[in-house]
Order: sequence, then structure tokens, then C-alpha cells
Amino acid sequence: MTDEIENGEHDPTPLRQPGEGVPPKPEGEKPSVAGDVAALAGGLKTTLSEFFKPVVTTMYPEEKTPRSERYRGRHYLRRYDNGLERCIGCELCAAACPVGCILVIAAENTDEKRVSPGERYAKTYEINMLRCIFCGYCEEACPVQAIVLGPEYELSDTSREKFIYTKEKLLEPLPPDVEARLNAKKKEEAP
Amino acid sequence: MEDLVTITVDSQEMQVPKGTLLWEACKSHGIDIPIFCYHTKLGPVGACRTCLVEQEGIAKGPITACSTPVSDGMKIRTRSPVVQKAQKGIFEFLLLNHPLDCPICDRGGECPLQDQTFAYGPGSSRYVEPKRHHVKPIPLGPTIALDRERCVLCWRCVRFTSEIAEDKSIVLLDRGDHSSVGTFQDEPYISNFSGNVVELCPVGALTSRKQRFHFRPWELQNRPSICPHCPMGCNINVSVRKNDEVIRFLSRDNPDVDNSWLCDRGRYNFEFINSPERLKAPLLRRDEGFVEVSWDRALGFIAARVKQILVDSEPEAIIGIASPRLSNEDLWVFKRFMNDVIGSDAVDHFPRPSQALTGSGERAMNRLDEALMPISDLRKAKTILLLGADPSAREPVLELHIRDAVNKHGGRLAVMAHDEITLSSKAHATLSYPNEQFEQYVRALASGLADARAVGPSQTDTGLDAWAGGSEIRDFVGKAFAEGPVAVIYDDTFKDIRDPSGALEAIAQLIEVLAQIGPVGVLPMLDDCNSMGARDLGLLPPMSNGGKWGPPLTSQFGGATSRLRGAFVLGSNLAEDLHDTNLIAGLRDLELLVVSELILTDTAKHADVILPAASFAEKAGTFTNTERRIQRISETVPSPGIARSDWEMLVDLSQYFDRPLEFAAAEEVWDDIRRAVTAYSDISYEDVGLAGVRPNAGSLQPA
Amino acid sequence: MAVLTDESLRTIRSLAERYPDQRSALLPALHIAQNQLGWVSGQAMEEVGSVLGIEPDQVQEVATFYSMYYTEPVGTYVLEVCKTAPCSFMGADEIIDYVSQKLGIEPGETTPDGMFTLLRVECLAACHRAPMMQVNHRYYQDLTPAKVDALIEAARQQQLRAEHLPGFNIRRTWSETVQADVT
Repeated sequence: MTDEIENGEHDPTPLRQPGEGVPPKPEGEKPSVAGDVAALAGGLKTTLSEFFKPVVTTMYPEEKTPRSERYRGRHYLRRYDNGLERCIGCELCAAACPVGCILVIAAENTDEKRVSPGERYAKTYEINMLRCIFCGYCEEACPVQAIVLGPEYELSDTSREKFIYTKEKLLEPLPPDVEARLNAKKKEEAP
Repeated sequence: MEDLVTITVDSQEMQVPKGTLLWEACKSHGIDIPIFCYHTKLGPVGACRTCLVEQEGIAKGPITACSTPVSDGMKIRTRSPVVQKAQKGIFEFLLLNHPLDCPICDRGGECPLQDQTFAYGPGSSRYVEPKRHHVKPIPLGPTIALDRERCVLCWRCVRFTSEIAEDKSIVLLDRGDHSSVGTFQDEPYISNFSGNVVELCPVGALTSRKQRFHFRPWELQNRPSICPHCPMGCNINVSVRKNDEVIRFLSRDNPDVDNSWLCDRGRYNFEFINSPERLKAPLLRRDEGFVEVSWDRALGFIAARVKQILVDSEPEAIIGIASPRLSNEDLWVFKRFMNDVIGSDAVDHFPRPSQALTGSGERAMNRLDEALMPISDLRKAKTILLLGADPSAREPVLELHIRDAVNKHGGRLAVMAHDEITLSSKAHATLSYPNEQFEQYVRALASGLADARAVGPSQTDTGLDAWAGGSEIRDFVGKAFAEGPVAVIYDDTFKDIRDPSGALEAIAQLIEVLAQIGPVGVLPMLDDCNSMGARDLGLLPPMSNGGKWGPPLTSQFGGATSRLRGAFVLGSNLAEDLHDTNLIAGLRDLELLVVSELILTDTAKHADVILPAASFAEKAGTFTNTERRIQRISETVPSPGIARSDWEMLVDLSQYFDRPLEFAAAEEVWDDIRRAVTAYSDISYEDVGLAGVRPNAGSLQPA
Repeated sequence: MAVLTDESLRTIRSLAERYPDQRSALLPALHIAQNQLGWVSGQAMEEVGSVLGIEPDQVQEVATFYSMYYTEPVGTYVLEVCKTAPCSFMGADEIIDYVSQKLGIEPGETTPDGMFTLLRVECLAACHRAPMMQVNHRYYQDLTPAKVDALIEAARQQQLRAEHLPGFNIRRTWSETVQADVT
């Protein structure tokens, strides 16, 4: 059998050629009106029974399905309640990133210009969203819960450059419900 | 043959020299024992207790491997339950007050405390109380920041400053749980060697203020090279980030050259490599200023102009001056280009003494060169004589070698200097000479020494007694010279000396006298990282009498009678170094001035064509250091734009001429050097390796 | 400007001569400097160092190691409360807190009127009568808050003498003996 297939000797039934007529029905089956009506009624019954069941289609984009708490969408950099950035520029996220889409350049806080509570902060923080695979390793590596993956997944944009998310963009506030959930999970105060 | 003893470590039998420290013995046999306070170059102190091991038959408990010398029949266990318990306890203790701020610590990622805690420490701590806090970071000086919370009190910085550098010291203040690192009365820690304490610190307590938070260690690749900032040629690792940015220089241990130390001048001067001012493409002078052009365009222009000059001038109307900061390969191809392609003998290196040597001066130079000694033989010397040389200012790591020789090897230091120098305080005898009289003093010293040791006739006509400084010299000779080998270090740049030939003859005369008494070696302090190479390769204008130390070519610039029409200047900033308006006018008058440079220097601004050169970190090649050790530099980062190494651009330029040069790689240039330069003929490019190699390795032997 | 008097320097030199290695005289020399100045200043450390041939930073290492040397200026009365384990078990921490509260200063500080300095010091070898404190080289032992009150009051009245403080178990200290011997 295997040999036949490999040798191509056992051809499947060929399809009809273009222009070829419909083959005649097999003999012995006679047309019946009652049979056709019954078939139609059977189909309508299914349609009607589905009609009164609850709707399962979500009317995206007007409607959206709820997402899991652990859904990993676009990234956010968080701040403490006093407005200081959480990120300390340690680059552990960049080290953990399997695709190397995070660039962090750190600098030192001074008393005049204080960006984060400790000695160090991220002067530059960029994520290449085109390369990101949303694995969440950055979030896991972060020692200060600064970077989190939020719920948004509609990240389409009009140019490639816009997909390099800068620190400014990443520092946009999280949706309030997500922020509240994160705060409830681990109550932390700015030192 | 050394005495060997047999010891057993973890049921592995090993034979090691008697007196070896247990830790060193284990390390040499691949057995890892954690350490913090012990450092091979600093010796044992036994402060941190992490190296505890168990010795069979010793009931009192574990012993410290770092401070215990091996003895015959010792049976050691390094991973027994007792040892593991001890190690876990020590690590838990060390981490009691450690802030564990690894994410923001510059050491995090290359931190011995991290690594060893992972390997030997407990997984968690029983200490839940609040940790001790200090103000941090404290600027300990202009280069070093101190974080007292991270310190594990290993004493390494304290020992380095007090035993090795012997300068402004870091001290350990207070006691017990209040112990902390600091300086006397909080004065700033200013030192030529401050960067070394950062490298020594086994945690992130001492960090470099210049590079604070600039990098994470895991982003860096360390690539071996040679420091280009003085003729010592200290071995370094160039730390490179993402293959395009030089982040720092680290010392790389070569016991014969740097003994794992690096001075701050070498360590922190790397910004020029990353400078945004670096030239990225050839520049051609146009009426409106310099315009960037392609290599073909620039080289074609040079070739055409050179040929035009050669039509109605001798080839000597075109001269070449190269910087001794270039590699041997650059210098050699430059010499070949000038000699063979253009046909001009006029090649020189600058800086070098601004006078020609006389015949006898050159003979004296050769005589001194025969007595050239390796740096590491300083520790064999019983007397080290500094003749007008100040290592602290120009070759700081040489100062450490001298201190080591005096402190640990019983050397006696004699300083003859115009002014007081840093090492004067370390000297057993000092002699100061009036600035103009260096030569007379050296000659008087030679004759005084000859008198004292009754070797040969007194060599000055007047005799010491009639001489103004006679009694001082007699006194100096009496105190300075010990029985045994003598090492003489002199300053070969002769900056303040009118007649280098005379000074060289005087030093050679002193060497003759010393040689009659015992072994003598000489170590000159040259100008730049490859001055020795430039001399060995003969980048010196010839004299009519066949000598090679003719008048420097820089003296030919300017003046109405100058026959000069063209010049190639590679890497030398003549306009700034010579401060001579005549010279600058001379540069302007040339029909063709080609300058190869890293940035747009004052000299380059006068050029007709500027060629963008690769820095030492961007090319492969060799340097020859002050003790004639050939060492290899390597390509650590790509050069900016289309910049290339000097030898590559010269090879390309030669293609426009009748007799082109054919070299495809630095190795091929080296092979050509070997064929022509006898001193280098025994050494292949592979021989040079990581540690470098000295041809006809001389040592501190009887001359 | 030199801060040590010629007499102090002379005494230090004569002390140093008693030892084969001059640096051995460092501890008594620092006592002499402290007796003259009331504390050991950086300048004093440099001068002591230069007499004994020791680098000033090494002198500082020693001076900061022992709590008997004051590297900051101190008040008229130095209340040095032992903080080591036996005293601590017997309530030294409470005594320190009490003094601290009473005088309004933290350990290591001096009252604004320059009267008292409170220090926590290492073991003074009077564990059998813990908790204890040393005030200007005299031991005051078996301390209680009430006794501390009496002691501070007596000091304020310039009457810090044994007969005014019954039940204190006062004794002359070793360092006082040594200083009497040296000077």
C-alpha cells in the first residue's frame, strides 16, 4: 500500500474537469417533496433553537473580552505615591530579556535632581515593542516592581519608530484598576 | 631544586614547594577555597576567615588556608561538614550588615561576595533585625566613592595604600562592629594609584566615581591590550560594551611588567577612544575649508602631489615624522614607504631629544643599550640609582617596582635629582645637582666611586677635592652603594639638558666604573609607549658619518633656506608640542602636508590632507616597552567611520607608486620587520603572546 | 601651629626612650596629649606621630580603636557607660537611655552647656558590679536611675566626690593610676 502511494500508482478519483456536467444521481433514489420539506424543517429547527440561546459573539472592537489578571500586554514603568520613579536603572530586565529589546542607561541621582529614591535611576529606558515577545521576564526580574506588563494589546501604530517605547511613554499611568490591584497585592511605601 | 613537600587535600595528593601557603597550593591544583582578605600580591592577613579548612589531627578547629604554610604530610579537608558549617557561618556573618543592594551596585555581576555566597554561603540569614546604616556614598577622594555598608573589612585597600603605594593612606578606623574604612581626618584620598583599590575591593564598597553606574559587568567583554600612556607598557584588559564603546581599562597581571598594578593616568585616560571629535573620514583642504572625501580621492590626491614634487626635487624634500605612540607595524610600514616608495631617508620620530647625537654620544647610547635590564630584575638589585629620573611623574608603575625592591628585596635606593622627587623620602641617600650640571655631577660621581672602590685611575682631572660638590658626592657614594648588583635608571628624554651626548657619555662612564665593581643594569625612561620600537626600527635620520642619530627633522621646518616641500606627519602634534611660530609657518609653507590623526589637532589644521587613523584600541600590532619587551595590542573596538590603521593606509597609498608595498595583515608586517631588524629576528608574531617577550633576554649580569 | 606643649612633648620623648621601638610609647603618649588638651585632635595625632616616627593615619587608627581616647572634644564630665555584654544584661542599655533622656543628648554628644558628654564604651573590667559607668576616671558601679540622678546632681553642684555618694562603690581606675605615675 505504502509503495503504491509512493509510486503514485494508486491515484485518487479525479475531480471533475471544468465544464463537465453534474453526474447523474445514483439509480433507485426517487425525488420526494415531503422529504425535502422535512429536511428544510430540520434545518429551521436548529436555527430557531440557536436563536433563543444567549449570544456568545463579542462585538470586537466595540466590545472586548475580559482579560486575565496575569495577561501580559504593553509595558508600564510605575511610580511611587510620592511621584518618584520606581526604576533604579539596574538593567536586570535587560539582562533577563530573551530577545534583547530593552535598553537601559543608568545615571546617579543628586540632591538637586532626584528621580528615584535611591542612588541610581534610569536615564534612558527604551523597549522595542516590535521585537518584544511579551514573555514577562522583565517584570519577574525587576527587584522594585517598577516594570509591569499591563492589559493593553492593541499596539498598532503608523510607523516603526513609534514602536520604540521611550521612558516618557512607559511612565504613563497604569489603568487605575490595575494599579489598585498591584498595590493591594503588595503594599509598599516609598522609602 | 626547591624543597618539595607532599600534602593531601581532599584525598588528592600534591607536591608543592615548602613554605607555600596552603591556599596557593590548593589553587595551583585546581581546588577552590573562598577568600576575601587574601590577595596574592598583598600576602596573608587572616581577617575574613572565609578560607577555613580542616586539618586532620588539629583538634582546635578549622585553620585559615590563606595564612598557613604547607608542611610535609599535612592532611587537609576543604569540603568536610565541619568546614561547610564554618563557611556558612562566616558568610552569614559577613552578610549581617551587608545591604544586598546588588541591583544598583557596580560590582554586582563580578562580585566575589556574590559568587562565593552562592557557592559556599547559606541560602538565607537568621538575622532579621534592622541592618546598620551609614551615609553613602562618601567621596573618599576625587576618583573613589566609599560605601561603608557594603564593606567586609578585608583590609585590602588599607594594605595596598600602606604597603604597596605608600602614599596617602586609607585606614581602618574604630573597632569591632563600628570598624570602618576612612582616611586621616577625612582628608581626600589622592593618589597616583587610586584605581587599584577599586579593583582590589572584593565587594562594591570602593567604586570608581568616574564610572559610577555607567555599566553592568555582564554587558562587558574584556579584551587584552597594552596601556599606551607611558613606556612601561603595563598590560591591560579593555572592557568593551556592545562591541563599540570602551568603558574602562582593567589591569592584567604580568609579573614582569606591571605586577597587576595600573596607575590612574593609564586607567582613566581612555575617553579619547570614544570621543565624538574622532575623525571618521579623510579630509581634503578646499578653499572653503576641509571636506570629507573617500579614501581613493584622498590617497590619489597625495600621490599626485608627491609625484609632482619628485619631478624637480630630490626625494629628501619630502620628510616623514611619526609619533612613538604608533605600533611597530605602523612605524615600519611608514619607514618602508618613505625609504622604498618615495626614496627619502628623512624619517624621524617625535618626541625625542631635540639635538643630534655626536658619534661618541651614539656610542655611549649603544653601550647603555647593551646593559639594558628587565624591569623585574630591579628586585635583584642591591642598589637602585635614579639619575635625574622621576618615575612617579612619568612611569608611576615603575615607582611601585622600586618600592617593592626596597621594601621586600633589600634593595637600597639612591636618588640623584635636581629637585626633591616623590621617591626622595624613600631613598637611603640623596644628592641634588644644579640644573645645568647634570653631566659634571655624573662624571664626578663616577670618579668618586672609582676612588672609593679603588678601581682604575681617578677619572676627573681636577679630582673631587677641588670640586664644589666634592664632599657631597663622597658622602653620597659612601651611603648609596651596597655590595651587589646596581640598577641605574636615567631619564632619556633630556628635557632640561642642552647636550644629551655629553650626558649619555657621562652615564656610560659611570656604568663602566660600576661594571668593574659588580653587575650593572640600565633602564632608560623614554618618551612614549613605543619610543623603544621607533629606535629599534630606525626611525632616525641618518648622519653623514653613518650614524643614525642625525639632527631631528623637526628642526628643518621654517626658515627661508628650507628645502622642504612635503611632509608626512603621523600622530604627532608638532604645532602644540614645539610651541614654535617658525615651525608653524614652516608647516603652512609646505606644498604637501599629510597628517594622520585621531582628532583635528593644531598640526592637522595646517594639513592639506588629514587621514583618519585608528587608535591603539582599534588595531592589531605590537609595542616595544622600555625594557625592550615586545607586547601585543589587539583590535578591541571597531574604528569610527572609515578610519584605518596607519600602516593600512600607507600600503594603499603605495599602490599609486611604482614600487608598491604588499602587506595584508599585521603578522606580515612583523615578518618583514624580523627579516630587517636583527634584534627582533628571533621572535615570531605568535611568540609575542599575551605576556610579551624580550629578544636576547638580557638580565642584571656582569657586563 | 603646634598644639602640644614643650612639656608634653618632652614627657613623650622620655617615655619613648624606655622602649626599644619608639612606637611602643604610642598609648601613653596619646594619654599625655589627651590630658593636656582634653581630647586628641588631628593636629595632636600628627605631632605625637612625628615624635614617635609613626604616620598620622596609623596614630588615628589606634586612637579611634580605644574608647578611652576622645577624638572629639568632650564636656567637663564624661559619662562613659559600659555597653558590653555583662553590663548590658544587667541593664546598661536602660541606664544609657535614662541618661540620654535626662540630659537630652544621644550617646556621643555633649550637652550645650558643655557640662556632660555621654559615651558608650567597651568593657571597663567591673562586670561584677554591673551596670557601671566611668566618670572622669572614677568608676561608679551598681547603677540605678536614682543613683544616676544623684550623680548628675552632685556633678552639677561641683561636688562629685565619694563622700557625697554613698553606696556607689567608687574606685580609682587604672588609667588614673597610670597618669599619676607618668606625669
